[in-house]
Amino acid sequence: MTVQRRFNLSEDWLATLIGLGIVAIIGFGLLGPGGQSKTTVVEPGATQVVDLPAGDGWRVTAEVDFAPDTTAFTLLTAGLVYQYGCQDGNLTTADGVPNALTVEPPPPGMAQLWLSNTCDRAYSLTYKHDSILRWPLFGIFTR
Amino acid sequence: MTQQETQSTKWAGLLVGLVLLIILVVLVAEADKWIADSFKAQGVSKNPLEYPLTAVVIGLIANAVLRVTGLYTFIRPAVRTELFLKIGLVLLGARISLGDLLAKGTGGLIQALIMVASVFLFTWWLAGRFKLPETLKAVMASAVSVCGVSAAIAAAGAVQARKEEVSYITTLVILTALPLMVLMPWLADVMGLNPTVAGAWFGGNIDTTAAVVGAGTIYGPEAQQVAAVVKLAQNVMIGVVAFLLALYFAMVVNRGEGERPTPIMIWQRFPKFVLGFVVVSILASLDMFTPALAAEIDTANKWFFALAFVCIGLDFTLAELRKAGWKPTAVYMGATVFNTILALIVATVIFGVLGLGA
Repeated sequence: MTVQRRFNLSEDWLATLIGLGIVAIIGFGLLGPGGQSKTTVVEPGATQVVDLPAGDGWRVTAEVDFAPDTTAFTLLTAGLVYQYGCQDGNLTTADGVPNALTVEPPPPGMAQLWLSNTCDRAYSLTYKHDSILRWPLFGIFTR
Repeated sequence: MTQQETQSTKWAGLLVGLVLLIILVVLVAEADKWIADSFKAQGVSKNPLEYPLTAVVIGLIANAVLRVTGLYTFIRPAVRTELFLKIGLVLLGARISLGDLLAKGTGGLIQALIMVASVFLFTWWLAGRFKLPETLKAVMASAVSVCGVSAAIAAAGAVQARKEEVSYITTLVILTALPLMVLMPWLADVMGLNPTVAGAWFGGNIDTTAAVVGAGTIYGPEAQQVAAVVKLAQNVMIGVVAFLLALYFAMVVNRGEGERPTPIMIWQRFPKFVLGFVVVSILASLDMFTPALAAEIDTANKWFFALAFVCIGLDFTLAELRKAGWKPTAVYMGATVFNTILALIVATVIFGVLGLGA
């Protein structure tokens, strides 16, 4: 005769394990850095430094009274710095500003935006990225 | 049907049921958005019918349809209200810092001690006046004073209550919790309660944790957090209540016959998911989650709460209540009225006057 042993997990422990599992997978960034939305306003004559998680597929919008004459950076590589500026009423971009220019280099896994403004008006720049879980149903409550 | 076939049917029911639940939650989100947009079009910025209510109503409709079509028993294995709720509560920890947890938890524990003792004794006394059986008294007093269905089950195990007694107490818990989930936020609004006091009131009064979270959600995020923490403080009492009941039944009701319970029962009945909630809260306090990731956890939390709310509607049945007769219903309603009034007073004093949850 064989004795069959069955492992039974109580509902409480099951809920705890599932909950902690979800927190570990999502919360510790195993699936990515999460949905992002960062708007930065740059006043005339000022500079701003913004750290963003490296990644592709960023959606960039700028709020300026004047037409931006630029192609925005939608692919951000870790450790690199991307420059935006404003010249003669137009938003401008420049590749790979050396780290020495910035106050502090971007933290590991992050890219940096270096925003300056030599125009006489403020402008704002918004970087947005979708939720880590692209499954469209996941974000159904946060539309 | 062989045992293997029964198992296969159970698994099939679980899978089909889970798919159905996901579809229902999507329906909830769509309905909720439509309702919110309709209110917005009328110039009302905040949707007064928050998603918990929409979810319960959709659950009730699905319940009726499934029973009429004879599919209810098949998908029943997926209707796990408590499991979904407990997972949601563990995830809620990401939004509550340890400091907040200690502040609200201290107030919650004091309130829980007062409420559990007073409401338990009142219900016990009232049930005695109506000459209800000892086991039913124990199950009912635990359900009203501690945490609804889970407390009823724990107490039933401790006093060897009949299965039917647990079934109609479960029905009474849901029957009273549903209207309270909607009425209490409205009353709190009419009385102008601040979110902390309102949340403590919901947590101290509504029996089932799912409806507590639902009422808190309807009132706002701060009320939801306080309501959940206060209810969790009440939940942790269940082990002590079950142990004392078992001891009372062994010593007094059964006059020393049978096995005497040991204090290990307190740990056995302790709601372990509270530990998960505290762990996540500690991680959040240590800034382990970036705001973006905390928002993702919050989205997952909303999904599990929505699943639990839909399941409340699916769980509902009046059949057991008809069998029970009017007496248990009258006692339960009387105890609920007492609970509602006392919880308002205690929550106002602890969280309002003394400011313990601030």
